[in-house]
Amino acid sequence: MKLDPKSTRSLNFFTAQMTSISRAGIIGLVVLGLILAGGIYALIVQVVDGHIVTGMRDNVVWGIYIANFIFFIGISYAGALISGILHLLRVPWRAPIIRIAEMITVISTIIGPTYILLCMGRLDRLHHLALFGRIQSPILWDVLAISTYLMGSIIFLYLASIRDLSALRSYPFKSKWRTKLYKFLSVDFNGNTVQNQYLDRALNIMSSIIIPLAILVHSVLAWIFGMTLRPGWHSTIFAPYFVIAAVFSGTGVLIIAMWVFRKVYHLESYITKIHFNYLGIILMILGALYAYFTFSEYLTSWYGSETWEMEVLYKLFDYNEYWWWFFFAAIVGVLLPIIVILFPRFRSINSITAVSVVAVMALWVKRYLIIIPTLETPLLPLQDMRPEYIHYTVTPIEWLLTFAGIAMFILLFFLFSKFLPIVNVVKVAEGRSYGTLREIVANKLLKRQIRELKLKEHQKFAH
Amino acid sequence: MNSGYKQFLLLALIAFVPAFAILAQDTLMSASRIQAAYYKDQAGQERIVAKLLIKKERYEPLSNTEIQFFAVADTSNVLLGKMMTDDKGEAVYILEEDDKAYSDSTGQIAFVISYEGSPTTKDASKDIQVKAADLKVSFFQEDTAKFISIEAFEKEPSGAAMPIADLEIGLFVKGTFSHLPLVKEVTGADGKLIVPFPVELPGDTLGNLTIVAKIEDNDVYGNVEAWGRINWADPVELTSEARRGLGDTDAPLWMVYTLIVLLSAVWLHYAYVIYLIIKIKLSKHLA
Repeated sequence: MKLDPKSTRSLNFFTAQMTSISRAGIIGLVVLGLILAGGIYALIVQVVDGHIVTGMRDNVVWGIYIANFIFFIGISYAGALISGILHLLRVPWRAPIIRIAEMITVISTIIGPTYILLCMGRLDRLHHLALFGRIQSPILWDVLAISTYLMGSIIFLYLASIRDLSALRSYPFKSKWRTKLYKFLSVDFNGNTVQNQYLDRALNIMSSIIIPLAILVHSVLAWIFGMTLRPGWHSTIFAPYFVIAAVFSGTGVLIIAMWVFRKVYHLESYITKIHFNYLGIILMILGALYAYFTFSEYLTSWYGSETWEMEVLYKLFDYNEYWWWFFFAAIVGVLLPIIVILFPRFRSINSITAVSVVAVMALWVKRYLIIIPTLETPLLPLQDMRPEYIHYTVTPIEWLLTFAGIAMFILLFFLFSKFLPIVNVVKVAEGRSYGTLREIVANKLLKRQIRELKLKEHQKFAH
Repeated sequence: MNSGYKQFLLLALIAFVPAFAILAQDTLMSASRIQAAYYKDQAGQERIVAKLLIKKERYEPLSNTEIQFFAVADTSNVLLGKMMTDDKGEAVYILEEDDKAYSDSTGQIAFVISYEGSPTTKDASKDIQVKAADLKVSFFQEDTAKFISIEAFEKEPSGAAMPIADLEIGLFVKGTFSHLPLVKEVTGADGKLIVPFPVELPGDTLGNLTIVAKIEDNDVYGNVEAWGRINWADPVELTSEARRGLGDTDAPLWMVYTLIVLLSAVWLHYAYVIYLIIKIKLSKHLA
């Protein structure tokens, strides 16, 4: 595939990063490796000793693993919705961030379900799900939806990478395996009109499918909770609430990933403030929607005053139980991003990233608060009143496996970035530059100011 | 104390201690009681059900204990059988055809049910006399009116059936868990009892109703039961509740179809996209 000079410059820039690693990168890899080793140790302990090493018991049967599962599936929305919508709407500034979003989707959809496996007591019966699965069970819907979603996300990422794979195929890499792999994966794409038509058609189809699919996946996840009759879970708005929370956290993770790659790979000329501003505004709108759903959810529960619902609410508002967690998840994590992004004077790359970190952490805490307080409020009185049966506490083994999941997420991202440019090289060169857009906006503003000045002068002259 | 007085006390002790011991032992032993009744069912099976009770704070059933069933013959009691009581303290003896040989000239048989007692329980026995009776349930219709006819009769030693007059008979409708009482009346001189059929009562889906006739706790005939079945009642249509399917192995059909349609739609699009990727590969030489 023939590239214009701009694309060639970009390709050279990214291939240099793909084939080398800095000292800081090596240190980072060692740290990630150590965390993963800790996770492997924790996994062995859990497999050998059983789930007694976790904080889960007969009463609180789900813990931090399920919170992690929902969290990772949630952030997978970054790719599905953001890249899908931006692609369909032909948003001009999408090109530099779209691949990061798609990578988040694929990696988090791979890591998320592994927490389900960690949560299962009888992994040897995993195949029973396929053999004896009941179609009316939301658990089976979840398995089907997530596997379909993962497949769709991989196809979408692959399709969006074909042009870059084709460009990489022609690049003179030292290692031959790379050239062979790129040659195979680029399906002999050379950018002719017919191939471009086919590729665009495939991309349009996938970006159209991936959006409802992503909504369905998170709705199904919400229905696992909503279709039970447990306090704090049985809610008709749980599905849209989960979807909004997922896009909110997904956008936050996308902003954080953009900030990290911008710093590490020096992508200042590709990922600019305008990307952070636009995504920040999306984050703010989603934050407002999320706040609306949160308020609606808790107001309805509180107003109904149902005994068991109130027990959960009292736990959330109790200073000795979950109040500070709740305060952080439902108030700080929502209001802070809105306030910071709403006022242009607070808006900067760093501030937007910082509030994204707060939002993402708040959303993780929120998932924890969805699961634990409800399970600590059983519908039947407990017979065995040992404290560990009533209250759930995260054990070091669970923390190790949680951090191992995050480390794996970062590691896979790093490995992906060594295989594919983190920015869509060909599209960035082909597409309308965000700088031009900025210039257009600036020109329009300038023209308006000139017009207003002329009008004032005219009025002054008339007097 | 003088020696005469001492001798008197010694003699008194010798005389009264065994008596006190016997009295004390007698007081420590629990009283027992036997309840017994005779039953005859539709198939003609006759049985004596005896219940053994032991007095603690009140009378309670004594289980796993042997009870003997005797027939009273001319000169002595003849042992018919020994049965063990169950958890309810009940022991059942099913009469055999040979046992009827102990009946007297009127056809009545006397039974003695006895419990021999134990070191801690007193013995007990119960006498009952019964005369075998039969009930026959039939149905007939006059014009539009429908009736139940009950015939009660006893068999003489000669084998002839004799109607039983002035015998109280209870009529019931058989239900799943209990019997619904209809009427309790006495038979006429011809041993018959005729009552209107309760056509307004709901039957099964075909209108079947089972009428049960009972002689209950009669001093002469004991307990006799017979039944008849006819489809004169009001048929009831069974309205089965709509199945939810969520708790069954079979999912609701709409759910199955929805899932198949949704999954097929998505995966067919995937297949089409893969087909487009193949087309891209095949179009490498096109302009």
